[in-house]
Amino acid sequence: MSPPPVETIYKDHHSWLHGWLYQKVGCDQRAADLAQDTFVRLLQAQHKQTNFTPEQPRAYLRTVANGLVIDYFRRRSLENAYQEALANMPELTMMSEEERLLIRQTVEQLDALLDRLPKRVRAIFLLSQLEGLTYQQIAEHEGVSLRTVKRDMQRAYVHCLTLLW
Amino acid sequence: MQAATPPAKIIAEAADWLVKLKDKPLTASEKSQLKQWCAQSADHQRAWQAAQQLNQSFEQVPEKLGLSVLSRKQAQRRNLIKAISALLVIPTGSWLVYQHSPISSWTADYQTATGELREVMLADGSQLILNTRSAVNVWFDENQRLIELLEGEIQITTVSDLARPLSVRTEHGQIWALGTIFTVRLDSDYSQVAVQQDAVEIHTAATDKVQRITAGQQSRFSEVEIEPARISQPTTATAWTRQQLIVDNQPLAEVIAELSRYRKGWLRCDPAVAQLRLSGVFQLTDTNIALSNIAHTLPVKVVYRSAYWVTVTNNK
Repeated sequence: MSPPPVETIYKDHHSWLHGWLYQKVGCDQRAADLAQDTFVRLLQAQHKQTNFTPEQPRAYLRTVANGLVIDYFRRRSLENAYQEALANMPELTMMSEEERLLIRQTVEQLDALLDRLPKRVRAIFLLSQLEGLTYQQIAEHEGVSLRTVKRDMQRAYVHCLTLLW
Repeated sequence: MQAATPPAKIIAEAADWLVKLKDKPLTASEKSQLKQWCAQSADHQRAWQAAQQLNQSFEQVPEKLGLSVLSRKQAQRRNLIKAISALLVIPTGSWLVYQHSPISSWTADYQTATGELREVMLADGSQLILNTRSAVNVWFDENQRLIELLEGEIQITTVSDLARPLSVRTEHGQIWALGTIFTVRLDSDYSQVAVQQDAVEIHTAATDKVQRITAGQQSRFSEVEIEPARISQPTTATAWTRQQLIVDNQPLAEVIAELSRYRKGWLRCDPAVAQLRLSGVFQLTDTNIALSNIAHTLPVKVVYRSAYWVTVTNNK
């Protein structure tokens, strides 16, 4: 006997999920897209593990969808910041479309990578990686010890490498 | 065989190498040590590849762009996530309202960028002004008018409507307007309300404490506690709506923190000069001018290491 097909779960819970997502993102189209993505995740899970079927479909869908919503807000705030930065940097508009796209994708990846880092660790890491400051300069700037800077850098690297694995 | 889950020890060692590499160029003997380290296993190699990939990614991003985007408003990202989780625990009453209200009652967010000031006329004729780096959701239905402050600071001039009370909700609680003009500011640990006309009532989110604040008063509240009302100068509290910052005998550190809300990147005050006191009126339209005025008034200088990294420090 095969597990209840995704179609059944879709039929029973899609409109509930759509409504649930709508309350979060406040946009009908966006909610529809996110609902779609949620079911795609379910399909992928079933694909990986043939007998996979959530015991409590709504709880499962809500957990997956919530992750997608948080991701959506992060991307949206990135989009705003990106456009704002672009507007302030005329030199970037001189670049080719491909170059800009590459930069854009890289920034998105880095943003996702750094998402869960504590504020200070993130700030220290960016000062080193982007501004190219020495650890001593960072320590002065942040008002922390040299050892703290190195420890935070190590922590950020561990975080990134773990996610990149 | 490569490990399916990230091997913690190897990753920690790779991170140690990266920390060392950023510190200063490796010596010849360190270089050969690193080579040996990489050669130990396929996992070691893979970790080091990831390390190089990470550094390359950062090199591809123009410094200014990367700094302004990746170091953007931590507060906003946190508040958004908090706001999302807050929706999961909406009290039953309002949950039902959300469920039954027609879809069109949700309107889009209003947001402002750094340094932006925005005026919005709401559907009922109330006026909303958003200060720099602010975000709200507006939700009106036949029973209530709710403004959700997700980040930043707003001023509201309400139009009275007895059938539909107006309130502002932050993560710390809810402020009910009793037909008024008032400002609400959201900081990470508390919300701040100042009333310019009539009165409002504060309700804390977690403890149901209630306090009335009247015109010329202000108060701060967390989700559990409301501080006693203090006197609030209406011109000072609303100066930002005229793009001004009015300072009356305040420590420099506070003034700099305030100015940093209006500019991108890092603006920091050296602890050595943090306690210097300052009074004056500053234009928020150009914080560079405000900073240079401060440097003329106090024994401090403004060091621009880049447009996104500015320190106010001792004049010596």
